[in-house]
Amino acid sequence: MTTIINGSSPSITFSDSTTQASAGLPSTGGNITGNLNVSGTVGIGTTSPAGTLDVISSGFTKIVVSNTTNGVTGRIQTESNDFLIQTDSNHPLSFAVANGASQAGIDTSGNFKFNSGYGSSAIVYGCRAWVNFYGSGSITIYGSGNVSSVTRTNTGRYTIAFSNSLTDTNYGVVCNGTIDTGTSTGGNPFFYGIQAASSVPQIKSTSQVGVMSQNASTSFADAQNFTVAIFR
Amino acid sequence: MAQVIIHTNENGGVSITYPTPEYLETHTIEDVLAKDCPDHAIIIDASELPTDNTYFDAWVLNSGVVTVDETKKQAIIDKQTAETTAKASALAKLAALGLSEAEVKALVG
Repeated sequence: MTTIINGSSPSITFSDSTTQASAGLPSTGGNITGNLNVSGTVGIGTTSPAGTLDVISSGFTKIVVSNTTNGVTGRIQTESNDFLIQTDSNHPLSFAVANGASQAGIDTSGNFKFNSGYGSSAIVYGCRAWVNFYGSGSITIYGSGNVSSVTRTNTGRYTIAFSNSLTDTNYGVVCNGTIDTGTSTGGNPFFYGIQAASSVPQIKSTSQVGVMSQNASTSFADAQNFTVAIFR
Repeated sequence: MAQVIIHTNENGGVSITYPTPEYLETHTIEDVLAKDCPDHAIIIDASELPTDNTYFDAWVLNSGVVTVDETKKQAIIDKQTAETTAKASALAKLAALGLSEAEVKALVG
């Protein structure tokens, strides 16, 4: 049997009044006082449920789940272009497995957390931008994320521009690369980092960062396979 | 042919901006020009740049054409020569103290 609760004129049909009464259902509307057991599928807004429970509407379809004891309220909802899972009360959103503690989630400050080997669910500090490029001669950009361009300003000096600006300049910059033995006469080791030599102004803004590579003689020297990653 | 953006930088040299393939998936090089470069920057084919990058810091931009400034080039050569000479001199002095080549290498890398 399929139970249909449809649109503005909801109806539930039972085989006879005795069955309806035994289910605790009123005959002319009101609250269900007993348990509602359905052996088939349930469709809300559809006469052809595609699953055990199928909820359909032409607008933003929403299923709300609330706990009146501690005030936790949340929902799953269809939006214009995405599927939303959120809490409506001021509580974190958590994911857990095997009936255990939270393994991932979003706290009320918007921080994304996950376990993934940490030992407990902890805040994930994301890489906000990264680029890997060949920095000698004609630059080849191998890959990037949130980087719009790489500018070679001088030998061993580059400016990385972000596709989307960062929220502030308190980010960390991690650089690494390999020596270009064809143009460097200074030999290893290289130094990679934020542009900070006395003769070179530091560039570190929300939209771009200047980085450099130097050889053992502290001379600017081009780097191959130069990787720059921005963390915040 | 790939295009790049060039402009004369604050050092009098030439800055070359390369858009990332990632950004060009949803934007144009003109967008990069407007967002990442100063007003006087221009777009050219990469093939128009000098093929020898050895003296990149001697490149100059005049009327949209990048050339090698011979005076700057010579200054770079002189600096490199001085660095090489200074290193050779230092190594010779260490050798004169009786250090073997392996010991010198262990000391200075």
